Amino acid sequence: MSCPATDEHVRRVDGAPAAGALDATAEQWFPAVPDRVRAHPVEGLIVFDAQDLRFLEFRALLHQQRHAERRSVMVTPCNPPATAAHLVELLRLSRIRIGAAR
Amino acid sequence: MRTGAGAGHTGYLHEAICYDSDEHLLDVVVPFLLGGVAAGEPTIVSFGERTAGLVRTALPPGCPVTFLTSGEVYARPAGAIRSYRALLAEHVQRGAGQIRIVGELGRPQFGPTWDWWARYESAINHAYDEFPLWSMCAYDTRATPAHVLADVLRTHPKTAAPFDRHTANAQYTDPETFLLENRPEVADPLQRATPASDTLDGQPGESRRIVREAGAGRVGPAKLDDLTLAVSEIVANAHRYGRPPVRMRVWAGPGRVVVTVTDTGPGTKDPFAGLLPAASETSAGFGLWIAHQVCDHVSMQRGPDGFSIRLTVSDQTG
Repeated sequence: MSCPATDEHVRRVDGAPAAGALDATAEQWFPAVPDRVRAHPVEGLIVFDAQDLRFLEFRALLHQQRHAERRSVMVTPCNPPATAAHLVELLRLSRIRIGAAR
Repeated sequence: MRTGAGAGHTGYLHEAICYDSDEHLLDVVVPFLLGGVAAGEPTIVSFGERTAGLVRTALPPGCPVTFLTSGEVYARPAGAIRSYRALLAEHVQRGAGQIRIVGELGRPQFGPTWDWWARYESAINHAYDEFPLWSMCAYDTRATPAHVLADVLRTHPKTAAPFDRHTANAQYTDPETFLLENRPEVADPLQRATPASDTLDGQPGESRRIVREAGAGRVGPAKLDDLTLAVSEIVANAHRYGRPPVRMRVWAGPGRVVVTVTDTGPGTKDPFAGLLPAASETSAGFGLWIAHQVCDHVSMQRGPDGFSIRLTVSDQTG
């Protein structure tokens, strides 16, 4: 899917996890990512800008999947690293839909 | 209800066919397939072009056997297990009492990457055992190296032969034993040279940067992304579950990049690590499984000096 470009849908994460790398050395941030997206779900969809993430570990995606399951929504990281789409497919993360991977 | 040699068997019946002529192959495969069709069982062939053509010609016209392209199925062992498990689950859900599959690996798989295919042949005794599956793996003895055939007999509980003969293989070794043995590792020619990078105790982020720099322009961007992902997982595992120091070496050549990650710990104790997803994301097995899914070859060695994993991506495969 393409990422909605309006501010209404796309919000930057309010803090460090918006940029850099979410890997084993940043594990404490995994649960924080979806919670710190300030946008409320719109039509069951939480979209956030992952453009500045250089790396996204599978555990971070699993956290997002669980977050989405709890809230019965879909999570869409927009423009995440290309490997994110591969991981979502491998791990069959049904509540994550990658928006326009790099 | 199960039929043929699978009658009365619980779980996976895994047989080899070691054939020395096309007639020998067909004498085993055709009755196997026709028996499946007659019983209304899902009946599947996953052969290369030549042998698939032989089987097609030998079957009656319109025979409802499904042909898969073996090149796609057998690109990577962990991917083959993932695909087959999904396929088998789907057939069982539709009510299949038994599923029959005959398959073969291609000759390239008998080369330097045979070690992970040997692990595949062993691991599937466990990985498919929850399904009512009867499968046969065909090996042409005229074209299969002796060390490969030796592994075939150690990883298949039985060998099927013409006239409905099914003989137990005395050499068969339980996967829990076979998979924890070191498989002979063929050195990659790139490893003869001084590595482009040789570092100690680098964190995942630094390791990703090194691999990106060393591999840039050597393999395509998608391959390099995959390798970087795998390296990150393996380095993180080495720090989290292994013992320091963690040494990473990188070799890069035209069309291929090789990375080894070594720590001084004993390595994973899970015999199925890499081939099956770990039960828990908090174990080393998950990252190892991802590496097996995205790299073109992964080999592992345990020794007195520690545990070593070699990751390879190549533009010529996968």
